[in-house]
Amino acid sequence: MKDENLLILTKIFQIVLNLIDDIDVESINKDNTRSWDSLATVSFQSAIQSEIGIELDIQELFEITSFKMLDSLLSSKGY
Amino acid sequence: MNFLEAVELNKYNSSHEDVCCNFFMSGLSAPLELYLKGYFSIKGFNVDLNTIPFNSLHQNVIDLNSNDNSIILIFPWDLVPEVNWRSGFSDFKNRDVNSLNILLIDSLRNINNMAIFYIPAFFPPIFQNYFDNIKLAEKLKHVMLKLGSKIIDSEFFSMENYLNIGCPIGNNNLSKVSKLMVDGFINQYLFKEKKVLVTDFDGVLWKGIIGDDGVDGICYDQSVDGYIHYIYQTYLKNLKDRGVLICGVSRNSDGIAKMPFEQGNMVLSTDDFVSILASYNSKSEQLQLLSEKLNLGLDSFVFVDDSDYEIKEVSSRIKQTTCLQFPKETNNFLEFISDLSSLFNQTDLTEEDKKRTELYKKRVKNIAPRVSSEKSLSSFLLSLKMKLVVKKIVNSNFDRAIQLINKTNQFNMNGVKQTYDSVSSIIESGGSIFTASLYDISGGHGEILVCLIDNKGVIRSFAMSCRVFQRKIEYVFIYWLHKYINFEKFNYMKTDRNGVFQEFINEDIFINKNDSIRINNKSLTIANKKYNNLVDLSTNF
Repeated sequence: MKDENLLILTKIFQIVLNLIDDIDVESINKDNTRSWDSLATVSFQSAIQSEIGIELDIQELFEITSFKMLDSLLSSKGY
Repeated sequence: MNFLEAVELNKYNSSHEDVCCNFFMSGLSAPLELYLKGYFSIKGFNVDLNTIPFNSLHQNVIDLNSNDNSIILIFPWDLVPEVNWRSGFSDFKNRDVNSLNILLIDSLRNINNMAIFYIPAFFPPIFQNYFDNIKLAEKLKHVMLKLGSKIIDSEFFSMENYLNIGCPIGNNNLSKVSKLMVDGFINQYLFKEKKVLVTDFDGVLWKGIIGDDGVDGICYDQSVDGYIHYIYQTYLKNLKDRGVLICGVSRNSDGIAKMPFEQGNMVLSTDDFVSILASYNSKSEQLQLLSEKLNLGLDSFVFVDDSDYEIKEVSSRIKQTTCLQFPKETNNFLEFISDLSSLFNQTDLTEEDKKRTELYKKRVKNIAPRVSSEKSLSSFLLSLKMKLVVKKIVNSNFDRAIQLINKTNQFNMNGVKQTYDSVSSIIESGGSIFTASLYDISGGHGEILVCLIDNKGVIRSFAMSCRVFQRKIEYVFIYWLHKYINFEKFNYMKTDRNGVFQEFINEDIFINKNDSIRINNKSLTIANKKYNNLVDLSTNF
């Protein structure tokens, strides 16, 4: 993924999950982050569609459990 | 409004007014909340948005304090629970449309500061008879309209989102629907009754640009091109007779702006206007001037313009004024008129209302347009993040450049028309032709500037679209041209219509030496220092 796209994705991740700025997003996963609930997944879907223009299936998103997985999913869709 | 933009707008702004507002809907409201708050912020409010749990609409409406600010979004299944997709088809043998109990209406009638929005989404066709389902849809719409609700297009309903996550609005429409609701609510309840309509002329009262197209080139009659402008003029006439003050603000010289009225065949005449302010200064300054002279608050003003730029300029500088963009497409005209008419809501008409225009004309007699404040204009221009891309035309692709030279009158160096052959001849003998395209936060504006230089360094044509006046682009372009391209002088000539260019050429960045216009290097450098941070110029050759 291009650097500028990674930056946008990181920002979305931080905002939706209410993370502090300097946290390493690569270390974040669904199990260790309380704020990563179903509402957060819904927010990911709308934020990604709004900022990146990619429509992700909500069922696909519910299976995502880490930043790396999200990164891979979007890369596979050409982002 | 994108997600990150909405997040930014959600931050508390100490210059905004604090307001509380309920947002009620039966489905999942969380995806909409970010954008609702964002649009309240754009309007100058920090909103404390009170929302309700999923599927608790009925109870909360019943318990609602009748004077609380509220936005309520209703779907057909909120009124008739039997038609909820999430419940599937219920057993409906031997029932008819009239036997259905429509809920909520009595509760909603008792609430005052409430803006109701109804989305007539397609619902499960529960009746065997196809027409009974249509009858029910119409009945529900009629009931909601009687209640004073605004109808939001059913295309915004998303079956996928509603079934998957419980939010009936699609992700790609969260922003649009939020904007409709916030605008509707604020215009109705937080801003005062509207008393003044300030209208642009070009592209609004008539199709076309009077300065470029002339009286024969504009259209305002009952023809394909002119119809929506004709209807708009009749509506303004109607408003004026009801006591609304009509003002005109146009980016033209006074004489050019009033030329169409002199034809005597328009619905409106200059007498219908309390004031017409025609100048090349910022429109927000003119609205402020009108507000002062009429002694009416800017929150009682409505501003109509077809230009994204003008709407942004006014709405960013004057948050209390309601801005509506005149549509470019006929299909969007209905929504525009519906929005506009909802702002001028009047129950009784008095004799004083009918005479109001004449009474107020005295207050604004002889006022002149206000000159724009450089500081505030610069701050607005900076926010546009403008990029100018200069291109050297090669391979004889001169069509757009020639069109720009021949169609543009106001910012046109000499009004000399060029043809394909005349331009080719200049280029073949060593001349150059440049165009510049403008991009900003609204998107691309296409090629807006053209410059034709011959082999002796004489600028033979120089023109810029009136759509981008006051953006200081001409200074940045001239500086670049002077620095990187060899040229001697401008082949300037005064015409009847190039008043804007006449003002430009009289500035101190130019000097008249031996009857030819040349660059004043020192003044140009100063001007460029002032403006080069507003426009990011790059070349594409």
